[in-house]
Amino acid sequence: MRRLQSLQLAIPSQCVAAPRPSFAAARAISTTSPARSKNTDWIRGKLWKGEAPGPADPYTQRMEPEAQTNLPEEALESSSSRSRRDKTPAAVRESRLALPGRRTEVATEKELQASDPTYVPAADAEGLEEIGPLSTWWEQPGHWGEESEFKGFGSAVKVMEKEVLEVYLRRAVVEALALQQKGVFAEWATKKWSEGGSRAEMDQALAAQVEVQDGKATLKGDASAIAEALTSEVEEVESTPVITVEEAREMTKSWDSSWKNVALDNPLRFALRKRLYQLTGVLIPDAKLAAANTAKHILTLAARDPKPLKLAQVLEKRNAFGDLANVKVHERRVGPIDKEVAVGRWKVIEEELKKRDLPVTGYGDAPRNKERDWLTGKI
Amino acid sequence: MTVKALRAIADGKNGLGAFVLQCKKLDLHYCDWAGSSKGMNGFIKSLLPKFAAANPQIEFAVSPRPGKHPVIVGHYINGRTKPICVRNLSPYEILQKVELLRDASGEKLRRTNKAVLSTKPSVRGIWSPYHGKGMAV
Repeated sequence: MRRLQSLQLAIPSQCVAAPRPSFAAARAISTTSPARSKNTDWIRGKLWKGEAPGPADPYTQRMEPEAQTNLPEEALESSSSRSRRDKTPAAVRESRLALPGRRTEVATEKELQASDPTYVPAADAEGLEEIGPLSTWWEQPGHWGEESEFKGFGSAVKVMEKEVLEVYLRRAVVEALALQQKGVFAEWATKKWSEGGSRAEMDQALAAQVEVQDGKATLKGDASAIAEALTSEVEEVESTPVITVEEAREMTKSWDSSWKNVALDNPLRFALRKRLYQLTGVLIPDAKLAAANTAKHILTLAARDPKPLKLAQVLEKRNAFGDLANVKVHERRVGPIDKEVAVGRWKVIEEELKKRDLPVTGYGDAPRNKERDWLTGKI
Repeated sequence: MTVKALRAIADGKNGLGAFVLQCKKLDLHYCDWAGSSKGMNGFIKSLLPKFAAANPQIEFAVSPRPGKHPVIVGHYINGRTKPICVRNLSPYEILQKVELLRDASGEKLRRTNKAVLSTKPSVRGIWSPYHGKGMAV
């Protein structure tokens, strides 16, 4: 009884708090006839002892009460009209990619025949446009081309050699100084500098002399031309010129090393790091960059030690076992197949496996060894 | 070709005719990355060329085994193998192990408590002049 009481208490209060619109109006389709609901009125009356709360037919669709908002009417209107029109996210709507069309439904044969008495259903697929499935959408021409490929800011080809890095760093320093001299550094520090793909631009920048006194650098050269080349917005297709290590070594030898003592303030540090990333693809981590006070430090942070040689490579380089016939050095791990190859048995095994339709390497479709998992406690 | 013992009807008495080294092959496995292979890598670089030149009758196969401890495996003409793990050993310690493998017979290690080990032990034992009643000549 207590439960029933609480139910009685709860249900009318809900109905009072959120008055619903007429359910009969909200019903799109109903499978219950009105006569049937009339038949149940008497029992509802008995149950509730008077006016019964809730709908007469509880199996109809319920319309949710409209959410209360404090937005002005114009905003409400615009938002509702947009949502009715198109619910796709803004990023998808504004994308320049050709996206697959929305799903549309065609009228059924019966409906068409009702509206158009001359309609004759097709008997074959002649003349129908052939479109691929959705899974091959991006492979279809015009949907994903070279223009859609990601082009990063940094150079795709990473420079690893220290000498070459030094050449590029010198170029970055000269360019930053040139912009400073022209007084446009503050404006251009955060913008994208021209990639400088041509060799002429690079030689122009490297020809300028950098004189450093007590960390203060002055540029002697055609600063305006260098700055002009950087700030011009020319569509470039050339990639960054490739310098050989020998070339770079000669270049670095010809410069006085004092240019590397140029003191860096925060904007210059940031500009050098950005330019170096653009030219060489080497990005100095933020945490390390703060410690760089001179261009020399930047070079130290950017340059990485070359990968140590593998033992097999070292042995080959030294020619350690050159004249010894009884020593064989393998570069890779010697696996079971290598052992069979060494005794000339592998081709026989391979042939026999193929003859029996067995996988030559691996286990094919066979499931993994479950017993091993049982033993090791994985299952 | 590796050295193989001839299948003789009579047992070969090694050392009576010609001496055939029982170790025919040594596999030397190392890892380029792991620290436990440091000594092994040093041994291969510095000591192995000399050792291999001094032992031309043994075949040496040097191969990496990434992510594993360094191992030397000796193969013997009796068909047995003898593997020794040389992790964290210095090059000279490894040299001792390699010499041990070279000099090993390939047989299982057995305790010897007799002065003479014979393949056909005498039923009567070794003759001694101090035992028995003596012999009239």
